[in-house]
Amino acid sequence: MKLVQLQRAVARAVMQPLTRNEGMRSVGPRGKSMRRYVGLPLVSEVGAGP
Amino acid sequence: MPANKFNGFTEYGIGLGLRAPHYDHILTRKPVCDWFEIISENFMIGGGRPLQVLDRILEQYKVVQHGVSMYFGSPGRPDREHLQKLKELVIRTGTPWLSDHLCWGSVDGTYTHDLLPMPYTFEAARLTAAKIKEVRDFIGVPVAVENVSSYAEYHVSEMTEWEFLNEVVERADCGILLDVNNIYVSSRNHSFDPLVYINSVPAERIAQIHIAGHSKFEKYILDTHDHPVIDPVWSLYDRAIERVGHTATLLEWDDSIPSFQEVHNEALKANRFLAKKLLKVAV
Repeated sequence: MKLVQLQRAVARAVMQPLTRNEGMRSVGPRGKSMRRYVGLPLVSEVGAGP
Repeated sequence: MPANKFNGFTEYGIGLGLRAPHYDHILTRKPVCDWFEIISENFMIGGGRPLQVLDRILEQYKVVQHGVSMYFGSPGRPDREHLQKLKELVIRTGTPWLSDHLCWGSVDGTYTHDLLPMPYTFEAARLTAAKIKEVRDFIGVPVAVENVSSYAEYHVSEMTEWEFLNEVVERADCGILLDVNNIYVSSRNHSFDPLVYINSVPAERIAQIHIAGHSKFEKYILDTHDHPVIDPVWSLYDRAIERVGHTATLLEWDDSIPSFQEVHNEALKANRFLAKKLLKVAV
């Protein structure tokens, strides 16, 4: 795996809330969905989580 | 060895991180302190109280800049606007060297605001070293990279963390800000011998040393900078000084910050190890 591919994967993982009650906002500071930043649906939005 | 090209051939003693709760004490009492380390990003602004305080501090104290967002290991070129602001601050402070972390934290324009550990690969070492050189050439002062504490490792790594550090600093011909607390924290989290790390770094490249306290949890240790330095970390510092000599040393205390005097007293404990080294040299 190339370095940049690994870093993209890790960045997505780091910015993904792990639990439903982690309290991560669904909207970013400029009013856009946080999905825009992480490229993945939030756990709270897909209803998953431990 | 302590004064070297990586710290601008300076002989700095024991410093403290400049923190807002101590501003008034420092400005009114003017305590004796060898030097202060500032977080560059806190002062890369157009004006206001932080810069006013900084200018007054600069009238009386030596200041060294430490950054938290260069992300030498992130893909892509350094942000030119950020570098320009950093250079303006370097001119203002007269910092003899500039430090930031050997880590990454952004990709494709997204900033995680974390100091993420590098995969220890030759590709990463090559790209990181190139970026360090580019920053140094633009800023115009020596650069020292700091080893971070880490909580995860990568399967793709081709070497140990200390081998990676060696590889990067040799390729970039840059200095090291050796954080002995980070070595201790990572050694506990990843089960390696911290003394092997300390003994493996190129002593002649160490520009500065960081010491700090941390928090211990059930399954891991977290680099929180909110406690006194523990004895095992002082032991590692002792060994580092034994190898490197009298090196600029800074205590980081960033949370639950006690009085200036209490923080300074904790930092001055480093003197017993520095004095021991001087005595050995004298004998």
